[in-house]
Amino acid sequence: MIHTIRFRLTVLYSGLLFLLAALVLGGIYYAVSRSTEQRSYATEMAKAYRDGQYIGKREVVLMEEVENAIKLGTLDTLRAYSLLTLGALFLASLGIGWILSGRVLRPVRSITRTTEEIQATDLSRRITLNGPRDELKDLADTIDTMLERLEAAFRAQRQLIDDASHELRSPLTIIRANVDAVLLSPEASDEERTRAVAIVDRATTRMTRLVEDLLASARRQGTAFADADLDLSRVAGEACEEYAALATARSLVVTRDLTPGLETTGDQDALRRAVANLLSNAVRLSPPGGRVGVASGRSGLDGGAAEILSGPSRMSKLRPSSRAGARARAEAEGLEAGRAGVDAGRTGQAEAGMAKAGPPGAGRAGGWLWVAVRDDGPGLATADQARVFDRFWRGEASRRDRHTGLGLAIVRQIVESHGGRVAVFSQIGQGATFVLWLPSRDAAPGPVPDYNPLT
Amino acid sequence: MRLLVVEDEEDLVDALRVGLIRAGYAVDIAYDAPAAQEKLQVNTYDLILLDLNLPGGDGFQLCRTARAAGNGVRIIMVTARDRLDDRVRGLDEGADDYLVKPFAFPELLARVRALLRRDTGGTSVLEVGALRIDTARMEVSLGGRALALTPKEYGVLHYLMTRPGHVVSSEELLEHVWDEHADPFTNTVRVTVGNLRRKLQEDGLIETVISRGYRLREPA
Repeated sequence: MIHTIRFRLTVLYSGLLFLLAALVLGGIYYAVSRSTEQRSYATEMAKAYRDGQYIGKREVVLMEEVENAIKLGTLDTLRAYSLLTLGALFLASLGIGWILSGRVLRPVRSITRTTEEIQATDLSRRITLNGPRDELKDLADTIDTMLERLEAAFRAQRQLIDDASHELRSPLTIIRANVDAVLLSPEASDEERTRAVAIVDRATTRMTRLVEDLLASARRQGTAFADADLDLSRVAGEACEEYAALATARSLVVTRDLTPGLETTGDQDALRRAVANLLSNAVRLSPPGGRVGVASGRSGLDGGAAEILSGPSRMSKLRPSSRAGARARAEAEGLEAGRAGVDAGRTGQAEAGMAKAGPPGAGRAGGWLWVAVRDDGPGLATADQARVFDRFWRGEASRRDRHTGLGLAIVRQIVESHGGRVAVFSQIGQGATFVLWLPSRDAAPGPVPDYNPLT
Repeated sequence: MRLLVVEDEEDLVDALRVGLIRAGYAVDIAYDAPAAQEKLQVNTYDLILLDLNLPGGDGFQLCRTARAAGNGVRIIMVTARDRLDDRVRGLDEGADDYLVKPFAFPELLARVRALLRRDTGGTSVLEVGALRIDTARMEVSLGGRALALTPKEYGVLHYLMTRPGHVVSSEELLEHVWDEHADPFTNTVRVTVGNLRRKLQEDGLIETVISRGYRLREPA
């Protein structure tokens, strides 16, 4: 009770009011008492005359003294009533203060009530405070938007857990069924056993890959990662080396068109993994004898400086003339995936809190580096392009091969945590091009470009 | 008893097939919804193991189709969806049972047995006269003497024992005891029944009803 704001407000309010009234009344009392002498009047006997005739003796008092006496009387009355009034005022102000502070604090109580009802399992409650736009309404609205974000985050988390447990169940079921029905059965033939062991082995590999991918994707959500200066083209080159052997085994031709000197800041291992994941898909999905292209470059619209820095490259020369066309085409195809990526990319940028000096290049798409991986695979339908970067999304081929469906989600996470974004350009039957856009270290990046640098 | 396994995980299907065949069932496989749809139209099944996440279709839709055929087929949904509303929906959509992955194979077998004996009631042990069959252990005995039967002989006897006194045609036996790879034009049913009679060593237990089929004699 004593520790409530309401109590303290009430006491403060009535105390102040009491003090103010006491000051006013005290001042008046003091002023009146100053002009009053603390003495009574004295009477004298004097001869009185009316129209010159003596009419006898009368008691007389000096006018001044009478005035003084009246003042003294008033002063007494004033003191008595002042004390009474002050007492009454104190009591009244306590009551009024209690009611007023109760009124003011009512929204706070409603906020408290609602937040008490909110639990981690049910974040659907909102305060939705009615009333005028004041500080408390602002507070309530702020809490509401915070709840909104929390709920979304929780939902995403729950979705991930649901998805992950669903994905983990499949290989577990396979292992369980093979152990129960074949390996533990005394009647199983050697051939059946060998087969079951191979299946269990396959399922275990699949689970391992899934767990690794899940862990990787969980790790990337944290912002603390090893930032260092790096050359994007070298990172892409290293990723190419990793897949060179596999590509040769599948008789694929891997062409590299890497522009040296693409300097940026970031986590080298993570970025290599991002490029490697793209390459893994490209190598897996391209038909034997197909071509996989890896290229890198710099968004060319900030003119000569970039050209000199990076050296002339085929890509940057082609780009300015074809850019408008590429954008128009991208828009005609309705690349929702790309658009969603832009927004997500910007948030990622803000969250990663990367140091970016200076104002954004006004209207110029400068300061962006890109790595693109092109394949001769089956390509993606427009509807699928919006979903390729979702967790556990799998194309027809990946479903068959039992892939985790996390590769591209990890790519997106890595790139967005570096303040960049991913885009895909594809048509059914014409392969696909995945582009990673990353902010350059030495330039203030403008808006993320949304064109395909390979066209 | 003939089962249809609708499941797109080939590695899981392999184990299920081996285990179910060893448990004496005839097993057909469908890897996707259209294939399952087709098999349901062509063949008669006693029980369906149905996965819900299928390429080319929805498991619930398949469940309704199978129910619409109206031949009293049993359906067990076997799926990784373990949320309460999924389980409730599955059972409401017509499943007789709902098994969440990963499951223990003995439990699956027990559930299959439980659903298959629903017409006859009772436990996993079936008795007709001196014949006794323990479906959980796959043991058959006649008057206390254990019989060693092949899976097909066991299947035929089991099917006949669920319908004592009824005439069962060889087509029906072929439908319920053999899988889809059986050649309907061979005399495999006749041969199996002949072997079974020889092992029973008791004439007239399985009667031949001329041009109609076979009948397990009911105890007097």
